[in-house]
Amino acid sequence: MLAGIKNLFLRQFENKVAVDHINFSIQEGEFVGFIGPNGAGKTTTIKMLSGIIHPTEGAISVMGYIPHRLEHGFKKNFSITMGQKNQLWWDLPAIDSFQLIKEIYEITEPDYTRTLQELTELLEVQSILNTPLRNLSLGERMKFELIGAFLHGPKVLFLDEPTIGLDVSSRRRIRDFLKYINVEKKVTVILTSHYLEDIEELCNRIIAISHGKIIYDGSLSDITTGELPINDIFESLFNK
Amino acid sequence: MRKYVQVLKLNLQTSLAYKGNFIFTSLMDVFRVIAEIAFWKVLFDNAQGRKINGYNFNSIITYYIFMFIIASFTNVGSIGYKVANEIKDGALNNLLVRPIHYFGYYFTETLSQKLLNLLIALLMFIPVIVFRFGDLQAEIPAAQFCLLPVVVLCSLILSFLINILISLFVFWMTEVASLFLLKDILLDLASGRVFPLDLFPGPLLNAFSVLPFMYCTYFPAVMITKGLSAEALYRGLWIQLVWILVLYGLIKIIWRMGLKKYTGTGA
Repeated sequence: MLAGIKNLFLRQFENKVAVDHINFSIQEGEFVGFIGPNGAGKTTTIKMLSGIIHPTEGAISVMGYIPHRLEHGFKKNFSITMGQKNQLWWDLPAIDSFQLIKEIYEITEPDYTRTLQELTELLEVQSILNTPLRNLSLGERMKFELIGAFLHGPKVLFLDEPTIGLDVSSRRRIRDFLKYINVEKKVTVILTSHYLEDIEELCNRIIAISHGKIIYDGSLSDITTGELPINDIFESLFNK
Repeated sequence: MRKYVQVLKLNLQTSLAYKGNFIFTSLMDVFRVIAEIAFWKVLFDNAQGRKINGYNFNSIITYYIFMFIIASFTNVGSIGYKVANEIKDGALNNLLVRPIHYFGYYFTETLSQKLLNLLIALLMFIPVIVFRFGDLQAEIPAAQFCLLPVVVLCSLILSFLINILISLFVFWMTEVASLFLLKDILLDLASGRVFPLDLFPGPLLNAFSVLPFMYCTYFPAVMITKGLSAEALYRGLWIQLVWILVLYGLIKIIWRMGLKKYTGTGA
């Protein structure tokens, strides 16, 4: 009580460093798994990479753009999807949101029709394109979110826990989808996930982060010993 | 431009998806007007035919009805709440990463709602105007009629900018609900939505005439009901334009400062 009153007059803020001197560069076409416990700084890093928040120090370059300048040329070439946030219109069918995305990104009619058909077939969601989003299951919504993120053909895709809370079969389908766009469409993907299978199956490189610092950056399996450092990393990150 | 047309379309669609909610909101406004009329009726009955600052019962009812129709289009309080909440809970992220102009997007959204509200208000009051309940007096000169849409559109833009400007304080305050309540009360009063501003003493009215608020509702309402001299009309239009530029400039500066502090909270 007293502390509460004191707080009313003398506010003290504590600066928490979410991400501390991390340094990495990613090549075109890579599929990078960005892993770490809750609060490690994964989302903060992704938000900085996509220009949502300004870094207090340091420099970021994505496709030659400085993200937080939020230039349209930059925005047209990447996409971000967060497993815990809706980006499509809640009250309307997905197809209406896609129409809006088409106009916002100035996608041509033939491109739009072709991509939409391809993606909806891949994720098997043609039959629910006209159902209002609020009437769909979490898994179905996530599939639409991914389609929405990919309609404009981004070169870079940031995915923050896209499989969170989904069942095994939805997760598998989403993994197949992500593999397809990485391999066939040559999209560079940065994925965060707490599921080992997602990381193992999709990524050719992992960056592990803990308390805002990178603790591992490299391939999943050690080429010389054939060991899987990923298992140890997951172990040390989550079983403390 | 086509992207904004699409935003307009989707917003109309969403409003119509909630027909019940929409009708009740409109009904709420009707009851407000009825309550105002009842209040002035009692007041003038007791004043026994005298005028209050040049208003009689008919002219005050005229003011209320036209003010209400205009306010249905220019009162945009809810967009401020929406913008503030999007900043607060991180929903802004979604717009920030897309190649669309934020304020253009929000303005289009506002415009779509306001067009519907205006339509409903007109539908409600056309019978009143056509059948001349209570002898309405609109003194607007025919020559000024074509300028009316321009003035009303400027009123909408001005009102929109004032609300956006206040909502941006959420970058520093995290909770602005109380600020918004205060803003709603002050803005209602200062823009003439509670009573006509010329009931205020002269010096106060003069002070109001250089501030942006009365140009949100009072100015176009007086233009229709009492009529303005050409000189007063152009002066008001100039003040509207100057304030629009000033507020827009301020918003751009504060927006840029705010984004540096923005943390995109909530996943």
